[in-house]
Amino acid sequence: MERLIIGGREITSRLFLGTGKFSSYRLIPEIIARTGIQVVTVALRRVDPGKQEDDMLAYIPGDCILMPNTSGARNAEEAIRIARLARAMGCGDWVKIEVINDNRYLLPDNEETIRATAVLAREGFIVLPYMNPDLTAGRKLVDAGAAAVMPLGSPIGTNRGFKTRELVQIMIDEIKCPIIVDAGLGRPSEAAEAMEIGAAAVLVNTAIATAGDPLSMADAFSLAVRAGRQAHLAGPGEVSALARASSPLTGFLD
Amino acid sequence: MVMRIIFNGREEELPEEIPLGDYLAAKGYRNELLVVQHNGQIYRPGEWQRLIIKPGDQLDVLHFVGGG
Repeated sequence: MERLIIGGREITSRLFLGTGKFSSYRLIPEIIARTGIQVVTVALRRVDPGKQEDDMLAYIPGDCILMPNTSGARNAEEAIRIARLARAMGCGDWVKIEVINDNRYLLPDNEETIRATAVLAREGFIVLPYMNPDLTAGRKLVDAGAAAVMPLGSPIGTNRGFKTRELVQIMIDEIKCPIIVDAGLGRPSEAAEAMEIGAAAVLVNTAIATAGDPLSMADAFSLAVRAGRQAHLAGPGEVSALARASSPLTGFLD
Repeated sequence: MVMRIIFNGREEELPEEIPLGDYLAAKGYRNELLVVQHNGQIYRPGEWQRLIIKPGDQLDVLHFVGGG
């Protein structure tokens, strides 16, 4: 299979894992060991006295690529601040820009996301912006220095599936940079669909974390992502409106 | 005389200047894997005791949690 390179690193698993909402952090290393997932997102939070939980980083194997997100940021400045903090805390250069000021659907603000991407890319970050699927915004993100662009499949945490397919397809067809479908994918079949149409990778969190058996669901997503990628490379056949016989209709019954 | 600082976004009063390490230990924090942002600078646990909290300081205790 073709190699995926982001920020100078070869990415061997095209399934990226979000680590929120798991019933136990202990599931994370098990999932990574089972699936070979390499890119893992984390979030940065204040810790109030008496509310100190385990640190997520203790559960992520050292050879993974950590991608802190800027969740909680409502504008470019806040996202930039969180990204700088995460890097200063030893998280590496990767960052998922997430700028949200809509609390109902958690849809990202593309304009602020583009501004934050430009600043952080200039500072040497490997920037992967989460965005509303839109060709123009996608192009601006690439011009701003994004290493990959991450349009949403449907709103965060909804498991509603790949509802933005038509718009993401246009982005895949027109933008040279890797397009990664992030958010909303609820079933492995939907991840496979995104990969079939040419997504470079998918980022999944809620669908795995809230499954009855998260480990098994992560495995299912991993298989689906590989199947979808292989199908994309194989070149799906043409779709037609009318039936075309698959068996020869020879005339021995006439 | 009390001094005021901003701790995790909220105002707090302290009776005197004290080392950051003592202050955090008194609040019950365990050291490992926490980072403190002090007036915009990042300090790891090994550096906490050398840092003395002064009036008007802004402190945030941070760590990484699960997130998508």
